[in-house]
Amino acid sequence: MLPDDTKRMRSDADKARLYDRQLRLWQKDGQAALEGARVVVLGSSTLASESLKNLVLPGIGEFVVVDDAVVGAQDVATNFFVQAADAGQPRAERIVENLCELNPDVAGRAVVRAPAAVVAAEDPDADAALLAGASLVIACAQPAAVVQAASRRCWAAGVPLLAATSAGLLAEVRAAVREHTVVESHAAARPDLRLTAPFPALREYVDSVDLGALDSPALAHVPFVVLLIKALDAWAAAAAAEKRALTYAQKKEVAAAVRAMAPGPDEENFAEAAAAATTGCADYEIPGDVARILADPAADQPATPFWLLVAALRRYVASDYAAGTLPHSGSIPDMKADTHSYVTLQRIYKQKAEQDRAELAAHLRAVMHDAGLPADHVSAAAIDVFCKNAARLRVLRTAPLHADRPALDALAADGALAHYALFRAAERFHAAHGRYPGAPPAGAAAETGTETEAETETEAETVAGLDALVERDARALADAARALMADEWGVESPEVPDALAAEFARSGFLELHNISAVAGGIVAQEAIKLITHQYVPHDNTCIIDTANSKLVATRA
Amino acid sequence: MACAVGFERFLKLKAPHVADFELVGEDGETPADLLAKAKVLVIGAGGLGCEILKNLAMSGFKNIDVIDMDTIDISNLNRQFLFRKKDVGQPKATVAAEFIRRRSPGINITAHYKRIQDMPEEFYLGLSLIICGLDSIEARRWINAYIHGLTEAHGFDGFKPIVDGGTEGLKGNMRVILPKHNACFECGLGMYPPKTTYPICTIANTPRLPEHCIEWASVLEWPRVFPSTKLDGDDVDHINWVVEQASQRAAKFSIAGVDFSLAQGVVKNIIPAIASTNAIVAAACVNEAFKIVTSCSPYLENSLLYTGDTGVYLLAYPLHQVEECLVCGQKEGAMSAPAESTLEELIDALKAHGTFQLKAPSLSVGGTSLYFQNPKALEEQTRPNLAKKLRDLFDDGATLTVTDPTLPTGLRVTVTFAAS
Repeated sequence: MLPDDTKRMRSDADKARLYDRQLRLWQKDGQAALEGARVVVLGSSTLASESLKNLVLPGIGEFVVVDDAVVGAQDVATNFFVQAADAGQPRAERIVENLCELNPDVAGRAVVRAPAAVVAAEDPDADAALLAGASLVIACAQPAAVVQAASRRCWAAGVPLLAATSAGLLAEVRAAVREHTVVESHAAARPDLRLTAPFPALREYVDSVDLGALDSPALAHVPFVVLLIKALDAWAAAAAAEKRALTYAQKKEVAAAVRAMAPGPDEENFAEAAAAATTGCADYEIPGDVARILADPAADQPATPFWLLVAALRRYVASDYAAGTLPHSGSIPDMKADTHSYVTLQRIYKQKAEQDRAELAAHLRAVMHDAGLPADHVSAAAIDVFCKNAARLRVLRTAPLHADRPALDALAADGALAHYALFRAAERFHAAHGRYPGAPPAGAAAETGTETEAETETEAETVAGLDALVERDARALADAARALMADEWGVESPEVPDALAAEFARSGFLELHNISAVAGGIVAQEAIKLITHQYVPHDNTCIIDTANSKLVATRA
Repeated sequence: MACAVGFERFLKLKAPHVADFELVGEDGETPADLLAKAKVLVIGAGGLGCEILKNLAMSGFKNIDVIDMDTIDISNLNRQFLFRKKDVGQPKATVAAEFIRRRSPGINITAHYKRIQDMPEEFYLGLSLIICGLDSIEARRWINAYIHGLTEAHGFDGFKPIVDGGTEGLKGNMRVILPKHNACFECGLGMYPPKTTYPICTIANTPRLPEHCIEWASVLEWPRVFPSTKLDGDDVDHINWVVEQASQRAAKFSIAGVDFSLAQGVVKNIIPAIASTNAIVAAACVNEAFKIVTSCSPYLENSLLYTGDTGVYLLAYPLHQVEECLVCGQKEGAMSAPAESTLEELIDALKAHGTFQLKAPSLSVGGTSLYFQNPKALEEQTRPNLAKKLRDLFDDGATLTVTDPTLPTGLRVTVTFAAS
């Protein structure tokens, strides 16, 4: 199924209503990014369909499911998007058809080929282009060899990769992102009020307010910004101190000075000013994340609009005009005030933001000139959004999924090292034995559920046999995980609880619907963040162990 | 060696984390029997509800009831995947149940297009477990208190575990509530901030934000201009009227930013909602239900937090029972109020109080009605008391009986007179 203009009949007004609850999170820009995205999914098990469901519903542009598996009993039991009547048919085709039914605006396509063959294709043929041309690749329940090959290919093409595995009550979701830049991170940021060093227009306005000339009701409606700047002035004059590097005790003195100015104890605006003294009297500081981005070598030879803007931001911050500050976002929090004072103050900050934007744009022109790029290479809208969010920029670079050695410290600190080692050991078990720990050997009827008449085992014998296999595999898996940690990762006295290894083996790496749905939810949400370049994707591993109620977001 | 697939495998093999996992119980019942027998009530057939129903069906639950008093809106379709455009206007519970029946014909699912308060006690007594997928704090408080009352009245027969899920944007949480055994919903009420409200004096006199202008139009102007029509947040004409009024006011005060989307958001108190967060929380809920019913693995003790906006943060943690809890604790509230203050002021204080968070409290003392919100006749009869001073109505340290739509039973609140 290809995108078909006749099918996409939805008007903007219809979309605004249909997508209202998500547009409030990522607005039109985020939605447009989703609608322009193409997601390639390797695998078609429950993990794949649960992940895709959460991408089709919000209106992703196009998805491609790559798998040659056919629908079996395990699928009918756990995958909501296949039915008993689909048994024996290509699973990728079945889930694509059923997922497309969720949202007529989304185009889905099945490629009935083994993911291993598609990721291994050496020539720049259609298969290779499939991954390199994707907005995002998701590997669902794939063997390590496929995940690693996909990781190499995506890494080279700069395409983000998500990989998820679901094994009974356990699951993991991992991300490999070479570089991901975010302007609209929606991260919490402190109000930027420039109280210790008011810019000229703010200084002029504050000086124009004569508190002595106001009666009590008028005093009760002076914005706290004005009160705090005046209190700071008075404190600095009295203490013969600079309004710089105030200690906590000094900030408390300013708070006391504000309270002393109040006509009564109940004035809300004075209380707001006193409460804001500790944070508001701190020196201006560029947030740590943004400081690291400014120092990033990627801005030395900027190759993308984001890094061009960062290069311009560097020059801006270093300029006499900015004196170490970022462009102002133009927004201030609500505060107790009369309408006129508040609107005036708001306009002053907005005008400051417009001036800052013009300064940054001038630096950007110089940067682009130096790089030999046309002046309109970065759109005016992009400059606006960048300036509004300059204090919340984020850059994410994770380890690839084809790395040899994980980030042991973070995994250990989060108590997820044994889980991670068991997932990796299980992959090696699979590579060596052609089956996952706890899964019956190939040829057994588990995968398709079609028992032959020759089989005469009773259910009790089957279960007893399976219990014995699970016990054997659990021991082998625990030993393998310990060996991996000790021999390859250099972990001294590696700890792998036997019960945890047993939980892995108990699953046979078969999916339980609920756990795949949890993992699929996380996969989809990370996918949305990666596609929209809004909010911040996780670096880079989530471990879900619902047997021990241990759920952690960590880094490997 | 053939073996069971899906959830069945987990009910037949040994359980590593359950020492005494009984594959055949004393009465001959297997975990699979328990699962097939369990009767689960799903409260809410919305974003979480659709996911919960799908998850239950794919986990081997055979007897499901679903209750929701709402009908399908176009804005539900970005996440409530059991509904299609043709279903808009139909009851959510009915359409969701019909979809599940089609996908999984072996499941016995019953829809109730009703309020939870309208179901009889026998119905609740017949349940094994309740899963809540609600966006209303009020309904969650009600069912929590109701089930605690049921447990008290009927002992084990009234004991119904509640698995409660909630989401907002890219954040979600889940709670496993075992009545009388661990923290109840009310114990954690403080974690839910009260709805954003704007002071009337700001709305009326000193608007600064577009929201203030919208509140002015919807809360003050609408009832004045249309005294007999309730403002309907889903009626495009109603919201357009609010936008027009609010825009005029905003222009007068040089305030920017009033538009349809913001107006509807403020009027309806819209909470952003997406499929992925609902998927995570709903699946975590049903997984706990599956573990509680089958005992195949220990259940979560007792809370899970997920936030996905800046990286991912996941935390499973035990929320502790609050000794003074109005529902599962000592069940008596205390307040202090000036003897000179009025009954109306006391009622406002009860609404604003962090522990009580009541909606429309009715008060009586020692069998005498102080103020009743309804019926109308009683409201009119008791209304004069609103302006009376507390000291003229009852003594210092009197225990008032307070009833409120958020609570299924009365609440006892002792009021001590504070120096004014």
